[in-house]
Amino acid sequence: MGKKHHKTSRRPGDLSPEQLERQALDDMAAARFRKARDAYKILCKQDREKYLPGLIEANRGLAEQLMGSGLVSEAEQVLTYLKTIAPPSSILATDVSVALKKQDWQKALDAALHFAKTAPTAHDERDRATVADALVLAFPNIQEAGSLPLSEASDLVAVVGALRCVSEERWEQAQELLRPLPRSSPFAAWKILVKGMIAFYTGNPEKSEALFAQLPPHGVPMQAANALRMFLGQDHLAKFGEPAGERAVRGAASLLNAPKLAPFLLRAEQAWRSGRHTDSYKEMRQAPGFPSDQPDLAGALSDFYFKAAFAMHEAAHEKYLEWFERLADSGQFKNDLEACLIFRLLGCAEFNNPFSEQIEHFWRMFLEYCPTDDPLTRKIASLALQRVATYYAQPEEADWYFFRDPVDPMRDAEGAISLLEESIASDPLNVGAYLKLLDVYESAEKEKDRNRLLNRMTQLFPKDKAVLLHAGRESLNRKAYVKGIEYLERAHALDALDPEVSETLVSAYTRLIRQYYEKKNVNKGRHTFDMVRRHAIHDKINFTRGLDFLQALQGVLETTFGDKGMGGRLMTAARECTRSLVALLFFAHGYSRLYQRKQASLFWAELLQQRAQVVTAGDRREVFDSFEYVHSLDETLDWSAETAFVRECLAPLGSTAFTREEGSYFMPALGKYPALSSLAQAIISEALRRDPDDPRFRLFSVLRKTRSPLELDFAAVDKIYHDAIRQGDTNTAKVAKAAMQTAESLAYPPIDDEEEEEEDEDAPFGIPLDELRQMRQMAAQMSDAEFEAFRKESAKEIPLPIFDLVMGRIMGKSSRRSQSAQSRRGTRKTDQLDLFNE
Amino acid sequence: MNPFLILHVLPSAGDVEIRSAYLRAIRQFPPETEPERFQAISHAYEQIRDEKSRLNYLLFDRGSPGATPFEVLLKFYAASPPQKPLDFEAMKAFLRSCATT
Repeated sequence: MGKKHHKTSRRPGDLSPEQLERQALDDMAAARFRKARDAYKILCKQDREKYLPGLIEANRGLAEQLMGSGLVSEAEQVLTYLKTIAPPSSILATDVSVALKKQDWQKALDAALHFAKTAPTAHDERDRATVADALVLAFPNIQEAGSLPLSEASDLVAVVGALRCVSEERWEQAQELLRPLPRSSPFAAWKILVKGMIAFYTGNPEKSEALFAQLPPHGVPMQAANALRMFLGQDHLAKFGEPAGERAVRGAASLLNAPKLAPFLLRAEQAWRSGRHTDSYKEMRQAPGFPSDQPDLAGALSDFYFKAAFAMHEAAHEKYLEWFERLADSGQFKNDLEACLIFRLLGCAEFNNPFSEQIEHFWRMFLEYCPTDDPLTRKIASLALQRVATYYAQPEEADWYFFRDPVDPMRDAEGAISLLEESIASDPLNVGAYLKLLDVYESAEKEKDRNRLLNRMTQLFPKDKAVLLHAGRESLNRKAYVKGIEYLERAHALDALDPEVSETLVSAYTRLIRQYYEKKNVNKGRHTFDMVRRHAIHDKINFTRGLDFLQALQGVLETTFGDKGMGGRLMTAARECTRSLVALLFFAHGYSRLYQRKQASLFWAELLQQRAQVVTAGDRREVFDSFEYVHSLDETLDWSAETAFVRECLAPLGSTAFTREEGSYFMPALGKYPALSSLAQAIISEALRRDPDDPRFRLFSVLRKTRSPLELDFAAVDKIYHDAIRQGDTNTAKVAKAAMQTAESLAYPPIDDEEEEEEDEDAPFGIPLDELRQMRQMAAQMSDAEFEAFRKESAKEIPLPIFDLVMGRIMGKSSRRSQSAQSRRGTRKTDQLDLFNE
Repeated sequence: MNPFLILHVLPSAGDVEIRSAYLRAIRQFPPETEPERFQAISHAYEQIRDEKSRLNYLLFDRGSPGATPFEVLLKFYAASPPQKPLDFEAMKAFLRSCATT
């Protein structure tokens, strides 16, 4: 046991002649020509006459093998030796091969003609093919070919002529020329190649493939066919194996008019396939004409190398980008275009990094390398700066989908404003930059700046729909309804099919109508209603634009402020055309309560009667949506009776009568209403009873228990994330990942060494240390309910994220973070969910 | 794949030229017979239909045109206009290169 068994190999000199001969034959069969030659040399010493043919064959095989590997001078040495032992006629074909490899077409032609004259009856297929190749590749013209001392001169003329016809797309003429060529012709393989080419270029891949499959395995026709076959199916490269594959790729690149890319492409492919992505780029980088921004093969490959990072999994993505970052640091670019593409890649990657400190630098470097003579340069600069400003204007946290805390409005409001101003200066007609600046001013609560900018925009872009929509909304916010309607009507005239414009316009009209009625200006209200009807829709439930709801609203307004009889008639008309009586009654009841402030409206009793009609999932949705709409009319009103009504309508959700989809729809919405919270819990319990592994409801369950992002159970969410990926539930995976990113970003904000050093030890987070200690001690002794009340109270003085950070550190909640989660902090994210990284 | 390539226009092409190329392409590859190609053409057109879209594509597009360099070559071929044969001199060079490799 454990002993290694070494294969015993005996030297050729130790073998008997019979054994040696057998070994030589085996080596010949296995194309081990060098070994066979050595064996035959020994055998020839014993019986030259018997073994000389074997020695000649072994040397010929070796010479061709060396030529096939591109070792032409070594092949020539073997050939020189061969000439000393073999009759001249037997090595003529090898002479032709060597001349072909050396690209000496005239010498190859001479050798081929010599072969044809000396050994006209040679039967070796390969020799005949080599000679035919040499004759064709000399591309003699008709006169030259016709005058050649060759019995098959007419076949040669036909093949060369057919190739010319193919290059000129004269398909029929090419076929005609080839027709007389017999199968026994040495040019038969060329005939098949040309016919295959015709099929290839005339869009008949099956015929082309069938013809190419008939070609003999050696010779130029097969090599050329292999190059064409690369485009007939992706699996050909694998079928060809290494040297043939390399030749085929070279040929394929030549066919795409990019022969100089071929040698680099193959090595780049091999490196990429073995996961050495940057080595692959290094190979390709050496190719002339790479990178390119043109729509050619070099351009497609450049696109690939500078975008592939976004399709990689995270580790490879990071490694790839780090290499480009080092290259950028070194400044050793191949040319300005490469610099541009590298900085573009790095800049794009930073959009996914929530803590990027380099994003602006990368994009400014990109702009530095952009061609200055391009008329688009200023527009490019404007767009790039706008995009970076958009990054600055985003909240640092990835997603607050489930958490109840307020969101930090922006990463860097001042930075965003400054960049957007620069963007506008660079391209004063970049309306996107103005619109973004408008948003930033709004988020930063810079009302005056916002209004000033909006005025400027309406003058600069009087026919821009987005600007008019913004101006319309802004006017509505200022309760300048008439002005707002004017803007929105202009936007509507530009795009009558945009539902967002129509919805906002109708909303503006109804607000104006309500104002008229509330001020007892009933006639104006009625007149405006007549105007708004043309924007009404009938085909779906829409609380703003639905004709039934508009009629119901006018009905309530007439009943309250105008003609009760007319109000009744309008309600009747609304009932007749409504798609959901319960939703309509809820809507009318909501407005009645708004104006009459009484619990029981005209519609309440009927609404209670209708409860029994709420049966299907669709009915429940309608009731809930109506409730949400009505609740939003005035959140300060006491809606407890309506909430109880909704709770009863949704009661089946607390038992068993709901589907997974319905449960998923209601879950996030129910959380907003404390009175419906227990229903949310019941849905989760029931869903998990049915399927304890359901990642979506497991996530709902975890997030419901999570008071703030800092308390997130990382291990549980991480497991849910991976389970969701395994089960193909990408929506749940996205939410789980977003929740982890949110919690991470808040628990571990980016470390800034300088700031850390400067932190006032007496007042971390700006809170005096004594006060902080006291808060922590109190918190440690509180029940959950008490802690929540304390947290809410503290929010009046301290931003909640800071409060959570302070409490999170003292209570050690952040230690729940898994190691894997820690390693993810601050990394760039790829565009894809990491579906493969277990 | 690069939308300029799919529509067979240069990156410097204007709105009108791109629209003409788009209309020509969808006539050549209608959705009934070439649904995949039609979809690729429509998507390409959306990416570069006006100057703003073109600049956004050039600056911020992240769609990798393939999984490996060689796949890019094949996709490039598939997306290119139907290949024409090489001219006779290029064909000679191509066939001769097949003898030397």
